[in-house]
Formats: sequence, structure tokens, C-alpha cells
Amino acid sequence: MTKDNKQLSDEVLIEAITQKGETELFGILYDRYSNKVYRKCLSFVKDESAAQDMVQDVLLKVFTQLGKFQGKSRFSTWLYAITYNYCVEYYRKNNKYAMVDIDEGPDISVDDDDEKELLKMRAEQLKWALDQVAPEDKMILLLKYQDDTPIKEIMDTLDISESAVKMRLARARQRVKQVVQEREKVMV
Amino acid sequence: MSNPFHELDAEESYPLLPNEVKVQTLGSIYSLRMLMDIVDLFVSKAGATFHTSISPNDVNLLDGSRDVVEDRDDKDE
Repeated sequence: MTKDNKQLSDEVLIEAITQKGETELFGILYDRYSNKVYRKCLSFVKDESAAQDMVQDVLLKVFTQLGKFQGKSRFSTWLYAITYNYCVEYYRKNNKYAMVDIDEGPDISVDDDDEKELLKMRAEQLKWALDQVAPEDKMILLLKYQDDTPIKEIMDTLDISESAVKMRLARARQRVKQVVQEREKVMV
Repeated sequence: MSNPFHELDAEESYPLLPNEVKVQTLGSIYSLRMLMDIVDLFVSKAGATFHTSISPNDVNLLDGSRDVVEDRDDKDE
């Protein structure tokens, strides 16, 4: 692995790995993203050992599916979506919780005030709230606000329509707001 | 306006991934790649053998004679 290779873009590396069989270049992608994937896994499971196993599984999965990456979104977005999906799945298997049907429920208005309110929260408060909502809600909020993924890329990566993305985001923001309000009521 | 989501993702608030995870992960990936190459090789060899075995006018490995496939329509006549 030369120093020059480390300067290559994600897309060029992926092409070399999938088209020319230069598997060793995957090490560069590993160095670029493994700690970010680890942090994301840790934010879902809170257990270092479990999160380390998850990183291995996610990156192995990414490697086997690399040929399917079509470049519709940034590689990081695609990678994080695989990571979040894996985390949600892991959470489902290891926790008793009522699965949320993310596309069910009444339509709600997409409210900019909810977004402002969410972004005004203290990090600690937000961290707590994200642990209270369904992992599917947490996933879409992290994709949008932590990874700064544009709506268009979320649509392409999750293969859902623009209105579905906006609706899921609006519902997730409302659920976060709701758990925070309920906590405040208890504390008063 | 600062984004609290970015604060949550701050590197300093999380431990770093131990190096042994890298060794294990890349080791698994290289092994998997090797296995995939072996399977590819096996499939291409098997394909070539299958192609040879059903090709007409081919040498019979048992007695060295050539299998000549005649046109069945001609035979019927």
C-alpha cells in the first residue's frame, strides 16, 4: 500500500478493488472509516466489545457488497446506511421493543420549527433522547443531521421517495421532542 | 448555530478501535477474497471441462477415438 494510494478518492479505490481485484486497497478504506463506524455502533450498543464485533461484521458486509455500490451517493453515505441498518437489526435482536412501522401513522406537517428546536438541544439531552426513540428514528436523524446527508442521497440510499424521507424525519423529530417534553414534565 | 449532533460524534468522546480489530477484519477479508478466487477458478475450470465433454468431434478419453455427432435428420432418412 503506497503513500500515493492513500491519496486516492473512495470511488477510485472501490473501482480498483472491484474491477482489478486489488483487495489490499480496502485497508485504506478501513483506515478512513473504521473509527467512524465504531462510534456509530457504540452509540447504539454502548458496549465496546459488541461494537468491535459489529465493526468487523459491517466492514465484511461492505466488502462483499462493494460491487453493488453504484455511486449514486457518496461512499460514506452508503457505508453509514449499511452500518445503521446493521445496528437497527442488532438492536432488534437484542432488545425487547415494539417495532415501529416507520411508514404507518397519520401524515404530519413537515415543520421547520421542530428542526430548529432539535438543533438547539444540548448534546447531553439529545444523546439521552436518541436512546429513548426507536432505532429507526435515530438512524434517519443521524444520517441527516450528524452525517449531513442531503435528502436526495438519503432517498437513493434507502430507496424511498422524497416525501417518505421528509415524513420519516418529521416523525423522528416529533418523537424526540415528545420524549424530551415527557422527561421535563416528570422532573418538574 | 452549532449542531449538537456533531458534538455527539466528537472523536474525543469515544475510544479508538483497537488495532487487533483491524488485523482480524482485514485478515477475514483477504481470506474471503482468496476463497472467492478459488471458487471462481473452480467454476471456470468446471465450465471448461463441461464444455469439452459435450463438444462434438471430441477425442474420447477412454479409447482415443473421436466422437462424431452425425446429423440425426440424415440418419432417419
